[in-house]
Amino acid sequence: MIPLLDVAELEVRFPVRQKAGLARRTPSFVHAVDDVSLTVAAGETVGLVGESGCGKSTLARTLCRLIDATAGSIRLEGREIVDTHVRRAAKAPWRGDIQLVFQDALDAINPRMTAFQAIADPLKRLRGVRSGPELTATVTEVAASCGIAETLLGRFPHQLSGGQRARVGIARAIACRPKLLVLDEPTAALDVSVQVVILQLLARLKRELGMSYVFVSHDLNVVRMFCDRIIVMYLGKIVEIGPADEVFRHPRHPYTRALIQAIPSGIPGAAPQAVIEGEAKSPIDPNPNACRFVGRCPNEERRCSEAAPPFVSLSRTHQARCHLLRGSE
Amino acid sequence: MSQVPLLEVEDLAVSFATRAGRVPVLDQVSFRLNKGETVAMVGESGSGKSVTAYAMLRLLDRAGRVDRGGVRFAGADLLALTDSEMADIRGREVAMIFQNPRAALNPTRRVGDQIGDVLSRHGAVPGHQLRARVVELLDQVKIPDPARRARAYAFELSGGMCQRVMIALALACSPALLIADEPTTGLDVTTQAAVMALIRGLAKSRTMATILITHDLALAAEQADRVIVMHAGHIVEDAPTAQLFAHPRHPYTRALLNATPKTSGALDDLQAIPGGLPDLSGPDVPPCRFVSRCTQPIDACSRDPLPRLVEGERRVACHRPLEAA
Ligand SMILES: Nc1ncnc2c1ncn2[C@@H]1O[C@H](COP(=O)(O)OP(=O)(O)OP(=O)(O)O)[C@@H](O)[C@H]1O
Ligand SMILES: Nc1ncnc2c1ncn2[C@@H]1O[C@H](COP(=O)(O)OP(=O)(O)OP(=O)(O)O)[C@@H](O)[C@H]1O
Ligand SMILES: [Mg+2]
Ligand SMILES: [Mg+2]
Repeated sequence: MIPLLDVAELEVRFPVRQKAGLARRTPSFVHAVDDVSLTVAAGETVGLVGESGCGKSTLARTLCRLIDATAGSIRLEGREIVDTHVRRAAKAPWRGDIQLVFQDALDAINPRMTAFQAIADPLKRLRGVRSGPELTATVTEVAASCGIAETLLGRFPHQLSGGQRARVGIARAIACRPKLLVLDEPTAALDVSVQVVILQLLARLKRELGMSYVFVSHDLNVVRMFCDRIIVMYLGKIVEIGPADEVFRHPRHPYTRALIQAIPSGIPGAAPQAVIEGEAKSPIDPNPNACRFVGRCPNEERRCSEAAPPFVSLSRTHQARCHLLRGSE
Repeated sequence: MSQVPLLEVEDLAVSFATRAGRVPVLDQVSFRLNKGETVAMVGESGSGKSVTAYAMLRLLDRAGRVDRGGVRFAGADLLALTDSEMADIRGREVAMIFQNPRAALNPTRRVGDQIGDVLSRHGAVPGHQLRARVVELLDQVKIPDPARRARAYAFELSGGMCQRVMIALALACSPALLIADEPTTGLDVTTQAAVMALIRGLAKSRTMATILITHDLALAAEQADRVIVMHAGHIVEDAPTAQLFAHPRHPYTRALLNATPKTSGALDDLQAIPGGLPDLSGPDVPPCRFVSRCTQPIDACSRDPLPRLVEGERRVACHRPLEAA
């Protein structure tokens, strides 16, 4: 069976502005997404985690075709969508099937639209619903399912609290019932109670409509509970990929280990867990012949700075990119 | 302990003009903060955490108004200062990390220059050291390649990097009070740990007091000396961290804890808090604004004024608090 989403060797680079007056050298690039391959099956939830700046939002936006890739392929239900340029993608027939919930709700909502208009907008544009009682009913229902009170629907974004805005962003994205919903930190601005409501709502939509999710989050407890599989990124590359419970129980890449160790324990006054030393290397023109975790890795060896590590299969469904791991096969 | 508090908020009330008339958003908000103390402010979205911070710093938008109450900071009555006196305090003695970092940064100015602006406005470093200090501050918040990133515009940075730029901006002048509104929301846990360590380090070495506004109760538990719980514009509980987590006294605090994802357990184990915040624009807001969501209400809750029980270092606003154990 073809997966809902099939991404192969995706690459996204941004040119770096040069200091004025400097003689033109070879141009530099931010390697935001590098050699990323992944699949999402119908009804599957894939979590995407990693250090701030590692390329999660860029990947999310590229999947939704809001950014053009510099190389690679993105297939939605077998159809190649990577070549459709960003401007044309907005009107593509599959546009309603893949929706993004933005990291920053203010990015998604036109400041001149009320909450009602913001939720109605994609229904009108992508699903051809006309203004009228049907539209009103759908908007009110979607809003209610995301915990947005009717009294808030007439407000403009600046009159809503951060969490209220985030809910409008989610309602807007699920209004047209996409097949794949890419959520970029959808619950970061939400309080725990609304977060439960939203996560349980998403879980229900998945059960009832078979919706699939790519779920970007920094809250690893949420990712563990909500996702079937998890992808860990580091500086533009996937470093580990596998079933969520397995990755949490037996993280294999040293970065994944550090990440899981740093989850706040919730114990009053507990000294925060040991964190990795140093800082990430620059994503600008990284050395292609070295592991990107070099310099922070506790187990580093010489070969780590001499060659990029290969993907090692730890089981049929679990892989990590590290020189020091041995495959199971 | 009769230390003079650094910050004293007394009976603060704030309302907003909306299409539907004036909506009271904060009511009877009182709390204190000592030098060097870290207090976390938690509570669901819309409960008034950011508005409390804005009101204190006089940053409410035009529709907002302080109807009652006072804010004393280091002896000064902040609500009575002139605008220029207030501007002077803001950024130098009290700094704020805003909830929405990308929007708070100027999109048309390089981020390094924005930090430089703050430094030179408050005369914090001599001109020729400005560049170096900016890069040092960016380095402190762990922005990789800080010298080059100083030349970037906000849209070229990831969400978490904008957050860290905001933190660098706020810490630029070593404030006595830092108000951090969701400072680590966009950050991964390893960067979060590093940033919080940085804030905590400054809090220690310069006795900087911190108000940490957050949804993350686990983070609040680890970082704060005291936790203030807000609900619908009221402070419902204020207690030392360990006591609050071990034995919440307000039913709302307990409900929040039951909704928090843990390091084990399933999605279905989490309990959402039933109902929502009451509509504060309506005519009959009950004295206890949690009453319709409470698991154990009594008649007094919707009839009598909200009691403010004080027990040692704890305060709880409830007619029928949970057992103290
Ligand atoms: N338009 C752009 N121009 C130049 N560089 C960019 C642009 N957008 C993103 N980048 C860079 O690409 C890298 C990845 O950014 P991205 O926003 O995808 O990170 P992220 O993983 O979502 O981080 P966060 O968790 O902080 O949101 C960063 O180094 C960022 O500075
Ligand atoms: N300009 C405004 N006009 C009208 N109402 C406003 C305005 N700003 C805030 N409010 C209302 O005041 C209440 C408190 O908002 P506030 O931003 O303080 O919430 P918060 O506790 O910070 O929530 P969050 O965690 O979502 O950021 C909310 O109900 C919000 O809708
Ligand atoms: Mg992002
Ligand atoms: Mg807020």
